[in-house]
Parts: sequence; structure tokens; C-alpha cells
Amino acid sequence: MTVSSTKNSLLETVKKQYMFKLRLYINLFISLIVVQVIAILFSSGGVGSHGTSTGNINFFEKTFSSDIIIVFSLMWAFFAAVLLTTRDYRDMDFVFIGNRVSSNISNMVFLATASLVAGFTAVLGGVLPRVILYYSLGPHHILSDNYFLSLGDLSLAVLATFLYLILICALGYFCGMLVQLSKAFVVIIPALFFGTLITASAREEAHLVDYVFNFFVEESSLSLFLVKVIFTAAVLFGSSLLMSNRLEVRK
Amino acid sequence: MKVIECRVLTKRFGRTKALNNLSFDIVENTITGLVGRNGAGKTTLLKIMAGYLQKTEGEIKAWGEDPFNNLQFSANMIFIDDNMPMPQTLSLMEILDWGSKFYNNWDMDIARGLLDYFSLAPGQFHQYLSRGLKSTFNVILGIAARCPLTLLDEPTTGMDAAVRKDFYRALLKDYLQHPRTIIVSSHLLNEIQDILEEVLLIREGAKCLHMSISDLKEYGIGLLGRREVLEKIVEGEEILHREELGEGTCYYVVRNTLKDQKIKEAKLAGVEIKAVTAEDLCVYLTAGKKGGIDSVFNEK
Repeated sequence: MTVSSTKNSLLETVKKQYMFKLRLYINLFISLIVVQVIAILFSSGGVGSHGTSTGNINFFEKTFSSDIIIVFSLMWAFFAAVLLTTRDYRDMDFVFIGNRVSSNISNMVFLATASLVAGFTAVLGGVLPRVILYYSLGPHHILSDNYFLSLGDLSLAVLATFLYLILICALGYFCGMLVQLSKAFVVIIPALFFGTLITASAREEAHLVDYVFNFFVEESSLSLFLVKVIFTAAVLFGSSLLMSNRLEVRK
Repeated sequence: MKVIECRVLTKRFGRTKALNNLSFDIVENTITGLVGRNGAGKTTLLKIMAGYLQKTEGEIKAWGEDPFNNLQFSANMIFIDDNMPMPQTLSLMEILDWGSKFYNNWDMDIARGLLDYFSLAPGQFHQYLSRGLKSTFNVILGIAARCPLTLLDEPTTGMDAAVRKDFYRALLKDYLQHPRTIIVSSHLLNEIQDILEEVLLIREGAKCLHMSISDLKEYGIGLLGRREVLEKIVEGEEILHREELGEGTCYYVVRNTLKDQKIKEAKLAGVEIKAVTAEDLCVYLTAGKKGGIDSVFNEK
């Protein structure tokens, strides 16, 4: 038997590793559900309220938002991506056939899938409190602004959430890989992040984190947003792949 | 055909040299025993051969290509050791199923048969197995994968004597039916010598010897007798080992290049001629401090 007798293309291996990961990391999806359920519980209490009364009229307003589900999902995405870069998870790729490139690409495809799932459940999970409110308060107590969502609105929300999740996954993957390269980054990354936040807010001026945040969040054109996210994610994933080449394959 | 070619291979971890100018070839379809003492560099060498670790200097080629991070090579190789990462969310049977999806030559009948024979429940999880059973499961993976290059690093760690015997027998049977290149590392040569064709002995990261097991069994000869007689006989010979047995008696092991004439003389002088087992020979060749463990106690 020689090498030529068993030819495995990169695509084939990536496909196998991807399917393997979907089965292997089922726990990640379970943790996603737990995180989102917690978020739904939080948001069902309402995020803000105020009330006034004049004479006999009492006015009480409570605001509900599903943003918290998306924020929780984003945090989950970050940690899931970091987790994939850790030793135990990386070693899993070398139980069977694989190399660095196939391992990284299958991770990315896996994270994209996870983001899509999380995007769907986050947006649909946001609908759940509305339904609960509808039945618990009754339709007369709901200010209909932003209450009803069209299918178009929903799919747009899923797409936007998906893109944010991909972005955060790419960032998490990048940070995780930095940490794998040197444990010093466990301290350096949070220090840099909070450092810029604190110093800039002390000086009350726009800072890097602000700027980066606005670069994505303030983008009103969907297609431009799409391009920005894809480009940034590609750069982050690409450099993670290059970084991982400096590690030994398996200890 | 050569499967692995290794030329002046050196691997450094920081300042320590784990492998030192190692050169050897492994021929296709042979079983080679990689033998050496603890810390000799067996695992490092296997992991470099497996493409997991990057060499520091020199050259290593598997089927003419650098194995490091090589996908083509990875599809033709399996590396088994006792701390293999194993999925915690999959049962043993599921792991075997995935093995069959990844490896083209996978033999599910053998895998199932061995799982059953060694009384491993298919629904069990790897992390709850005992140490010996973990090793058993890992070697089942190694045999069933039928990879052209199979690397086994101390595969029998934790196994009981019966399982060890069964495993080596299973490995040999499967090898005879489906010849492939197998490298087994162990510090117990006795245990594996019956299935080996070649032995690669390494000491402190350097090659000590690489020869067929039958040559190794005749490599040395033991001489037991009076010290003054023996000293004359071994003069000019390559002495591999010397041991004082007290009261003027001495045991020498020399290269088996003694002339017939000398052997006759020795026998006449009352020297006992003994065969040296491959295991003992390896111990002598890789001995550390002169005088052995006794010297630690004698110095007091």
C-alpha cells in the first residue's frame, strides 16, 4: 500500500470533520438553548418601565425588548469559538484523519452553522415574550409600535443576527488562537479591551472600541454591512489559521 | 520500498535535545520494535513520524514526503497511544462508526469482533473505562483502521498479562493477513520480541542499533567464570557489560565475534558460555551509569 492508494482530498476531509463536529459538539448547542432560555426569562420581566399619574388617571408603561437574547447569544458565540481553539478540542481533529488546514476550515464551517442556528433561535426566541405578553396582558394593553413583525422583518433580523454572530465567532476564534500561541494573551487581551474603554471614557472622547463598534453597528446598508462582516471575518479566520501553523499539530 | 527515511534528525525542546542526529530507514511491510529506556525519545520520534511534531533539524520523509501537518500522509497513518484524545460525547460504537467513515481500509468486522472479545460494551463511554480498557479500545482502533503505517506508542500500558498476549497475537494475525508497516514502541522487549522483525534501539535520543531481531539475539555472548581467566579472554573484544558476582567470579558480555579458538580455550579454562537474550542485551547497551544501581548503595 502506498500513499497513492488512499487519496483524500481536502474538501472530503473537511466535510467528514464537519459532520463529526456537528455530532461531537452537540453540547455546545445544548448550552446555546440554556443561554437563550435564561435570556428569555430575563427579558420577559421587561427591560424598562415608568409610570405617572394625574388625578384619577394612572399611567404605567413597561418596555420589553429581545435584545438581551441576542446579546447573550453573542457572548455564547464568543466562548464557543474560543473553546474550539483549546487543546482538547483541537486534539479531537487528530483522532482520525486531518491536518491543520482541514481542522481550521471545518471549525469555521461549524461556527457558521452554529451562528445560523443561534441567529434563528435568538430572533424566534425574541418573539416568544411577545406571545406571552399577548396572552398574559391581553391585546388591549399593548402599544402596537414594533409589536407586530412581518416575515420580511424577521428574516432580516435573522440575517443581521447571523452576521453579528459570525463576526463575534471570528473574533473569539482569533483571540482563542492568540491565547494558544502564548498564555500571556489571557491577560493582555482583556487588559487592552478594558484599558481602551476606561481611558477613553475618562477623557470622554471617541476611542477604538467605539470606532470599531460604530463601523459595524451604524452601517445602515445591508449589503455594505455584509461586505464588512465577511471581510473582517475572513481576515480574522485567515490570521487564526496562520497562527495555528506555529503550533505543533498534537502534543 | 522505504516507508520512512530519517536523516540526522534532531528535535529540541527548549535546551534539551530529545532526538540527536538520528538516521534510519523503515522498510515497507515490516513490524519494527522501537525500544529504549524511559526518556530515550521513543514517543518524540513516533510523534515526529506521525506528523504531529515539527522536527528541529535534519530530514524525515514518509513515502517521500514530509509527514508534518500533511493531509495525504494523515489518511494513511494512525497513531495510537494511551492518552489519545477521545470524544467524550460518543459511545465506543459511535467512535468506531466514525473511524469507518474516516479510514478507507477500515474493517468493521474486526473492530466489532475485538470489542466483543475484550468484553467492551458498545454503548460505553471512553472516559469511564479503566486505564487498561482504554488502552485496549485504542489498539482496537489501531488494528481496525488498517492504515499502511500504524504507529503504536506503548500500546499495552495498563493492560493485564492476558490481554497483552491476546493483543499481540491479534496484531500479528491481522498483520499477516493484511501486511502493513507497523512500529511498536515499548521498553519491554521481552513482551514484543516474538512478533518483531526489526528492532530499533535508541539511547538518549541517538540510535544505538537497528537490526533484525534474529541478529540481535546473536549479537552478544555471555562469559561466566574466574575473573583472571576472563580478563585474558575478553582482551581486545568489544565489552558490552561487566558484572562482579563476588569471590573472584565475573560475568562478561562481549560482541559475538569471538574466534572458535578462543571459545575452546575459554571452555577448557572452565568458563561458562551463555546466550544473551535480546532483552538483556538492550539493557546492557542502554545502561546508564557504570556499575548500575548497585553503585548508588556501595558509595555510602
